[in-house]
Amino acid sequence: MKLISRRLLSSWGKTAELLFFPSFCELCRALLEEPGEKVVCRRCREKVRRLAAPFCPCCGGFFEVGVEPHLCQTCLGKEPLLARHRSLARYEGHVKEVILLFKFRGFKILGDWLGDLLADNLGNDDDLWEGVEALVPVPLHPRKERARGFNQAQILARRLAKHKSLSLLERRLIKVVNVPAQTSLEAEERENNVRGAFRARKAKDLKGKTILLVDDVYTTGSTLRECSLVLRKAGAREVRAVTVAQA
Amino acid sequence: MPFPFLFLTISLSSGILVASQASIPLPVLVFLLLVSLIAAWLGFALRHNRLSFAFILAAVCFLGMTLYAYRDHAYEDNALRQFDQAGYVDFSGRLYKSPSFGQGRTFLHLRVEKIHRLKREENVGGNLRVTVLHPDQYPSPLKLLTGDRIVVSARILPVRDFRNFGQPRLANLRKNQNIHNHAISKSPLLVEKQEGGGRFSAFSLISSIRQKLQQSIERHFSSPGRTSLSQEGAVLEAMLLGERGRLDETTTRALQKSGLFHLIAISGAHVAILSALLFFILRLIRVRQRPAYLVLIFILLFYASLVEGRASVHRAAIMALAYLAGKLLWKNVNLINTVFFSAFFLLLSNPFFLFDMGFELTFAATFSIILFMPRVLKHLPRLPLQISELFGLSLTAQMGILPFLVRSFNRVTFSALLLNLAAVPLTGLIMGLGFLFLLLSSLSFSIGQLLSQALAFLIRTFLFVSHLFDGLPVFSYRIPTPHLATVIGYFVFLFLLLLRPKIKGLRPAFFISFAFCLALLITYPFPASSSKTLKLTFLDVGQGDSILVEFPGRKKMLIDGGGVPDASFDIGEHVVSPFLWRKGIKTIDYLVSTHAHPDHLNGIKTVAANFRVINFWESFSPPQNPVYQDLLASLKPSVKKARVFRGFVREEAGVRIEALHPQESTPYVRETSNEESLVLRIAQGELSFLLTADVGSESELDILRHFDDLRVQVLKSPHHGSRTSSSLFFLEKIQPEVVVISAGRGNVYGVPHPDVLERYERLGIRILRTDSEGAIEISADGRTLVIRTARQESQEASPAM
Repeated sequence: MKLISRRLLSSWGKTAELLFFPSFCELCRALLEEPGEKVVCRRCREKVRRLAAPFCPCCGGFFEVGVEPHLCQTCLGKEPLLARHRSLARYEGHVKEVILLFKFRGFKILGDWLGDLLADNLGNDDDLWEGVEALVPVPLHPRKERARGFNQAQILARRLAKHKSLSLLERRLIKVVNVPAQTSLEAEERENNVRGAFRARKAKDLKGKTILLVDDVYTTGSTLRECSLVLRKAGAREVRAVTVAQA
Repeated sequence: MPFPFLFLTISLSSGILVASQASIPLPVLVFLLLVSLIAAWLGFALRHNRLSFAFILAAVCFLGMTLYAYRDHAYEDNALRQFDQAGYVDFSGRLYKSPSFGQGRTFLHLRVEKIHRLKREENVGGNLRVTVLHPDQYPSPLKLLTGDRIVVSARILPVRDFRNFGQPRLANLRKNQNIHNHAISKSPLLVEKQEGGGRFSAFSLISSIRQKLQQSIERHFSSPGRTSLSQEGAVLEAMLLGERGRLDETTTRALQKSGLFHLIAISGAHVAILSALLFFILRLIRVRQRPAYLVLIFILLFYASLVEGRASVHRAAIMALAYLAGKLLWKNVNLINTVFFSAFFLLLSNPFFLFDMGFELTFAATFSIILFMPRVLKHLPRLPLQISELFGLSLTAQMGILPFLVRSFNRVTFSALLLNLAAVPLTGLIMGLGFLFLLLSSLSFSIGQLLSQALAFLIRTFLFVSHLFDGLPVFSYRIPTPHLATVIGYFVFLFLLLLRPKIKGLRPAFFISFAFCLALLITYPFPASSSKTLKLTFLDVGQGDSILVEFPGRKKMLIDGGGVPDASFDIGEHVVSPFLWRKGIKTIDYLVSTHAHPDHLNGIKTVAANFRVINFWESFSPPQNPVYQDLLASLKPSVKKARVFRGFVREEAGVRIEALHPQESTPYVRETSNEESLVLRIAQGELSFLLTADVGSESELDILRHFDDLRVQVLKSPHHGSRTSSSLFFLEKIQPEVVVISAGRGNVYGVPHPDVLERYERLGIRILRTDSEGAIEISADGRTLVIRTARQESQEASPAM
């Protein structure tokens, strides 16, 4: 009885949604027919999933060809600033489209979903999570955050923290210089661009902790490495990172 | 399908429209509604989605018909509506709205529960609007709130309804607002508030906030003698709280003429300005976007109930709420869908809205903005300060409402296109500062005083802007009613312009056709209706006289224009002018004032301003009569003025116009008296009319003394059939076949007098009365009279009624 009434209710709700706000998928323009479908349709969402390619267990970089997991050339060469990093997928196709919608069109709700996706797919990777005590989102400059209305990394981090029941350290790492967007620069300029842009606050919360940085996209890793440097200087024991996509 | 409500609303409206034309029994409709619902459900179950939607559309159409039929039935059969006992009775019930104010009067909207008369109580339900007069008293002595239980002693007003050949009946206005009857009470002492009745509710809370806000406006914006609200205050009250009653005639006229009236009537523009202001403030104090949306939803809901508005406020509020809700739910918000679903729900709540001018205007404007704004904007040059956007908005809104304005108000206005550029930002400023004023003036009188000074200045600027184009009649003028085909052509080609036709060259063709319809609409290049014979129409102007004489050919003469004694209603604007416009008349060749009593003169004033007048005739002029002064002022210098006395004769298209009375004597300016009103005989061959204005038996004898062989076929009953006129001797001498009595339904003078009627009957004269027949048109076919009345016509049009 309860089931029938709930189904009836949801079918009414669906009809009402279709009547009042007929909405279309932002990616393929298909009518969003199913209850609860928001912004991006189910079929497009299904295309956003974990890339099943081998990757470097240290920096998380995906390998082109099917080989056994091994450390990549860079990580073999020198001790990386980031102890570990994982991404869900490459920054291309539907993943890229969804991140762009999320960041630049203000569909904050996609961030929650991406956060869930990260938790579902990478949440069991013990290499990454073993010993992690706190999550820290990569900050935006306050001016930029106000303009966008939110910090995408913070939304992802909040969701992850909820899933893993870890503490989220907000406003411990802040961005103090409003540098040009990394996306606007070439790879070699990026390192210099972010140098000195971040600062740690209330360092005692960070002292001796293993910290997981959260961001949306990993391109050259300059931003994450700089953040890691700042956190380590503030006393963090180890810094790892997780991102939705890597370029 | 991005806008399903487009189809649902069209289907609902067509249902309402059909039901308003044809009366179909209610059970049949309910049956059809159920059948189509079941069919739709079957279609859905069998996964025939298209078929299912078609049946849903049919069901919605039947729903519209059912709703209309049910509500129409409920309205027409309402006991309060049919209550027509003369004299004062006690009505008790609750107020369902805050009192609204006029000048020297307060309007109460009462949900009547009981009527008490002579110790008898009747349970009667219905909505009553009571006008309570309180001359010289300001502010209103009635401090009542929504939900208050009151007893008021009042007299039911006769329906103000004029039947002049196809004129939309004013009674429908009440129906659209779901008011069953109007009553008047002569003193606030006759209104008694009952204790214990005033339940506390959200409505009474909002109503008391509204009252507080009105009081703070009253405190800061009284006229110097504190006898009324200053016009600045009245404008502020209209813009912020939607109370237009205390605007005076001059201000209202100026705003209507300049096309800025929409800024005085709370509507989409105001809701948009308010939302923008609030959103700006919320962002300024660092409220995040989504909480800000939520706050906005609540404030808009509060505001919509605070202004107790009409269709336009509800439309704007529903649209804004839908927009915000869609954003909060992460949904696409299609504006067309939003417009139509707000229309859908308004029509569900009150199907009579479909025939409400305000409803039609607000939806036409909004729909037109949504459809055409993007395209129009593309063709406009980019100007700073969003001037292009503002201009695009007023242009597209104007495109949508122009045919409605021309057909219903016979006005073409272009001035608003330019004036809006200044007036809309000014309105934004006034509203922003106004809300600040309302907030702060309750805290500190001096801050309120300071802000009120600034506001008064802004509002004076606003009113100044509305007068900018006064000297340029090309920007705003009156025009005869366009043909329906012109209006349909206008819309059809406008919508066709939206399409991308496959055949090349079709688009320019559409454009030219559209431009052609537009030109017809705004110039009305057709001549006035031509008449083969002499034709006289005695208009139904309530208690008063107004006669249109159509000469063979196209020349027209208007004798008197009716009128009510006070400024409460302008017969010339709302009755006489529309009748002339519907006949396609632009020019009145002869405008005649028989004498300067209100029921003859007051209507002429507006007619003189609305039409081109060639000749103006009168006998004696009244000294210092303000209405008469206005009339003279609205006559252009080119008008040939003439004094017409006994002995004056004029030939026009084979018709002889002869003045029989009064005798010329000096001075020309003197106190108006009925005995000195102008009597005309209009004759073509054997056929003659005697138009006796308001003369009494003394003048009748005087006329007979000078014109011994005075025999006419049609007599306009002197002085509305009063006992002191129509002497037996006079009637026997002139031997009319037909007598036309021009008198108001249920008039307080008791005319026509039963004795006079009996006298006419005894002499075998056929009696035609405007109070029972509506307008009466008499023409001649050789020696026989052809008589047509408005009542006959309306009976022929709807035999079911």
